[in-house]
Amino acid sequence: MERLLNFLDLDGYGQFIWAAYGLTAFVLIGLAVQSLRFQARTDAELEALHASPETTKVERASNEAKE
Amino acid sequence: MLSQAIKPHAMQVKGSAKMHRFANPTRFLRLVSAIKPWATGVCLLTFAAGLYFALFASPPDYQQRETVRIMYVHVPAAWMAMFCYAALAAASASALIWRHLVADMVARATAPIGAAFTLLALATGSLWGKPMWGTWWVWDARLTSVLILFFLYLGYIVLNGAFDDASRGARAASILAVVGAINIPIIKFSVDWWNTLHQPASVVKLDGPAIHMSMLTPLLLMAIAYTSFYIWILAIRVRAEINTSKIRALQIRRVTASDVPWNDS
Repeated sequence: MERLLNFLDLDGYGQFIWAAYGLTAFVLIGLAVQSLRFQARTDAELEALHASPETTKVERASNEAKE
Repeated sequence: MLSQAIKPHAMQVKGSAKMHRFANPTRFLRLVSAIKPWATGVCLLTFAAGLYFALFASPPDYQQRETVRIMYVHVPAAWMAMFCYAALAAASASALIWRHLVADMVARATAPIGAAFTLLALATGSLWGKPMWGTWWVWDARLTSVLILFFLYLGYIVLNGAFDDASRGARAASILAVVGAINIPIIKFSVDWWNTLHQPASVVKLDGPAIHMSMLTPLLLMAIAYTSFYIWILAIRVRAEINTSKIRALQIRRVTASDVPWNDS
């Protein structure tokens, strides 16, 4: 227990060092979570648009117009 | 309002129909998807090894004692803050010059990652400054130029979303990113040009790094971890940006198809 406390104390600088590592973990994990959610949301939205009968109709019309 | 916002877009979509086939983004997405699992693996492994060396297997510094451990999260964050900005400026320049769709998406995906690294460089630097310099902050050339870098990232993100017409926002943001690139050499050489509190470079030097192997190992491992983290998150965000662009194009096509009076379908 004392060894653990000594390690966490880091010669009296523990609060600064652990704050720096904690903040780094918080920001990087937060960014990763937000990015994964951004991808999941747009994946679902795009899939819903592709599945929508209106889009299919519009796409068909646009293809016919091109021909 | 919606059709007003969308009409300039519709014209652009018509004008550059070939670009909106997403041939290039799809190919780029395939490349990014192939790199992603490797980047994720390297990121996790180097973070694990880097943290082990940074917290357990490296010695305290003879002057800075245990606080030197902050260096292992501070220095890679600062390197990546500048690297991401260089990527942002290069991608923005390509988007402006060649109107390359993928370049614009890479720039948009890079900005929040770069902003996060810059915030970490500033905050961890402050947490290192308090015990070593006796102050959280000084208006030193290095610190001030990095703070400006953070504002440039924020400006880019805000400008991108500030216009009803997304392409105008992207253009304005790209111009800001390219002009702001002047700040990168200022940050790099600030410690040499001005006599500041921040110490000069000790790793990237012409005559080799002035740092012992026991400290260079965790530093380089963490630098690889941060770089692969950037590639991993970039892959995720570029895919989301490509999705967003496809969604917008589909919606525009739907609105324009139903807007045209002579279209009976």
